[in-house]
Amino acid sequence: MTTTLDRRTVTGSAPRRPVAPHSKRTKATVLFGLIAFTVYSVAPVWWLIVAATKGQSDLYTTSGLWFAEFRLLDNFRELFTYQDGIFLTWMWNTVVYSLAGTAGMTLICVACGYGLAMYRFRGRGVMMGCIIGSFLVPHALLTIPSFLLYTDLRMIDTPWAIIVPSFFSAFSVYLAKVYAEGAIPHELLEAARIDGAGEYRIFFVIGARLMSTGAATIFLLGFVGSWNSFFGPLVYLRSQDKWTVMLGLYSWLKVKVDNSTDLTGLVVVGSIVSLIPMVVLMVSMQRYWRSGVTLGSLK
Amino acid sequence: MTRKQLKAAAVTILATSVTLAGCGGEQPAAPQSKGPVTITWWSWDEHKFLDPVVEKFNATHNHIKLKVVKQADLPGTAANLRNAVAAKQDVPCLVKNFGEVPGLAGEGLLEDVTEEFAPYTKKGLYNEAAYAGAQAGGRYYGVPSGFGPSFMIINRAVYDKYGIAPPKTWDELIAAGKELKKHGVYVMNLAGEDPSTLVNLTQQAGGTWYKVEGNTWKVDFLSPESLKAGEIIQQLVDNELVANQTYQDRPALIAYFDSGKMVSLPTSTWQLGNYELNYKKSLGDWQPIDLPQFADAPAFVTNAHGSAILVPKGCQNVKEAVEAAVWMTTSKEAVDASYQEDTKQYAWPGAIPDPSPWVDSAVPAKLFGERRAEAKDVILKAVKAARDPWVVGPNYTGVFTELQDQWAQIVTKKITVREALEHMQKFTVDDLKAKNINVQG
Repeated sequence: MTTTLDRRTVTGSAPRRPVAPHSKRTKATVLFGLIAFTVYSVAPVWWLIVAATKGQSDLYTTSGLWFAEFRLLDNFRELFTYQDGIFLTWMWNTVVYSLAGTAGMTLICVACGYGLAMYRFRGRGVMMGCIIGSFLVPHALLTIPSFLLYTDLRMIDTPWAIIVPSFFSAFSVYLAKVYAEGAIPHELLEAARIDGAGEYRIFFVIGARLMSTGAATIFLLGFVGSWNSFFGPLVYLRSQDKWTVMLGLYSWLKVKVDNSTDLTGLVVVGSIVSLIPMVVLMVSMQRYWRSGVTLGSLK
Repeated sequence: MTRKQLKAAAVTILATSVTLAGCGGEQPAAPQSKGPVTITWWSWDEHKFLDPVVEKFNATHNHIKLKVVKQADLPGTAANLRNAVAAKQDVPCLVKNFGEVPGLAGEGLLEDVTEEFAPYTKKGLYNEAAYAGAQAGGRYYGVPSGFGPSFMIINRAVYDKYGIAPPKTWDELIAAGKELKKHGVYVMNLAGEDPSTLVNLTQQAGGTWYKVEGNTWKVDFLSPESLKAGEIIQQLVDNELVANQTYQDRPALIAYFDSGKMVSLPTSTWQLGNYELNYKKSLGDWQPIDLPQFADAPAFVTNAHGSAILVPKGCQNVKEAVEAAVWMTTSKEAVDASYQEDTKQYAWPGAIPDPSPWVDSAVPAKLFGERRAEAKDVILKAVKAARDPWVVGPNYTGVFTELQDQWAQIVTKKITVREALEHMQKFTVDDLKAKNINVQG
């Protein structure tokens, strides 16, 4: 069956009261609020960009919001050559851990959410309860048990200690389930079954496609989370050449505590460089957030 | 947030008394392998400081190989070691000191290395004052890594400007402070979060807050030495002779020291390079002088509480670990290897009796101007006069945190030093009792 979409004027319905235009004061308040919020969001980024162009002593002695002697290129050179370019190693590690971990996590969680949303089976309620319940367990509480487990599995100080645990995210499962319930009509699956498709095929060809927007959201949130993750790498990785960029920058920041060397300048420039993959990811994934994927699928 | 969690983990100390540890169990014999033994060393220092020393060691030793595993920072090292010892796997054999030995030994994190270390104590390898820092209850749980000699640097230009002589005693320093105050200058800086001045003065007076007698801890914050130290602090605070610049904002602190508004700094060798690097205005105005003494002191004394390279529980090759650590802390080769091209400095050899070959490099070129030559004698005199009467109790980590709170109230004149010490006495005794540790006090 088809439905006709209502246009704005429908004969026979009661005429609507015209909406009063917003008063000037309301407009001004909203505008002011938006401007304040923009400044609040952009100012730290501005500070970071300005600070990255400064030398070590200017960093402390000149205004944080305006440029001093321009040393950006020297800073970059120092960043990429310090300790034989260890920073690039950290960047590469982080890209590998985050991509591998998040890709696996997206596949597993989308499939799991799809299963919970689309099938009726015994224990489904209990399972959902466990997933919601696991939100309540603080992450830090699991550190020691996880450490002992990974030690037994011989995963400490290997990339697996970072990648494998990130495959499993209760919140992403929950998100996928909610999204699947809204995005996949049961009739579609019925139709596919009647046409003779198997369950796996239905999931990969229909379900996963319809869930692409949700999956993209899950991937992005997961990637941002694993890119910025700190506690895991700190506890499970030992050798410096396996570290992630966040752990590396943190260790540089702490050098000045008990040494006369101060690497804060490198930390600032390194922070900018470490933001680049995130920005690239955000921009490149925009096309996934489009609506109307299912338009016409039920004709 | 993670730092908080780490700290929370760090202060969770198991209540086991060091003194009741008794004899360690039988050491399993090290496996007789053909190749060299690899000793893993955890440190959070930068590779440029660690690598040259390790390379030198590996080039000069055949039966032991050192391998550095770099840690992120102090709290990270502490958390990682606790995890590794709990898991009983991949335990490193040497770790840079991240706390006081007695507390860590009481927690069950360290290996008793008294037997392995004994041969090295007889050779005059070490400065006598260095030993105590590696001990708990008379046993060694690591290898002494020494101390930085304590002396003072003063902004001589400002002293001269107002016609004040450099202080030889703490009383003279207070008198100088009263004179300087008239001109809006502070004689010293006492940061509100750092009670180490009180600790250092107590050590210099020959005092300690903890003692072990038999199998009982004795706590005494109100000993004559402790009160003598407190009296100096009290006068500085009461007469408003000191600034209260925090250490948290180091650039601001250095700029303040540079301004000429604060003119005396108790310091040590490792800080000099930093002042040289960051002072602009006052370079060349400073003078190294002997640490001021207590007026009634029978002999010249400087406080020195040493540190240690730790040997964690579960290390498989204790003998080799101790040998490597002794080499790092006492051999001429190790000190020479620590030379840094950019700063032209060696790591300070704080464990050995005579550091004179390296003193000159520890003194920066411009900080003292024409008085640079005086520094060598001041530093060597400080090393010779170093004494370490300081015993650290098993709950010192928590006690120090409490002392920080009390200290903040001292420098803001909310309570007197004596009141703070009385509070600390009660707090420390109650805390030990709550942990079921034998205590008198």
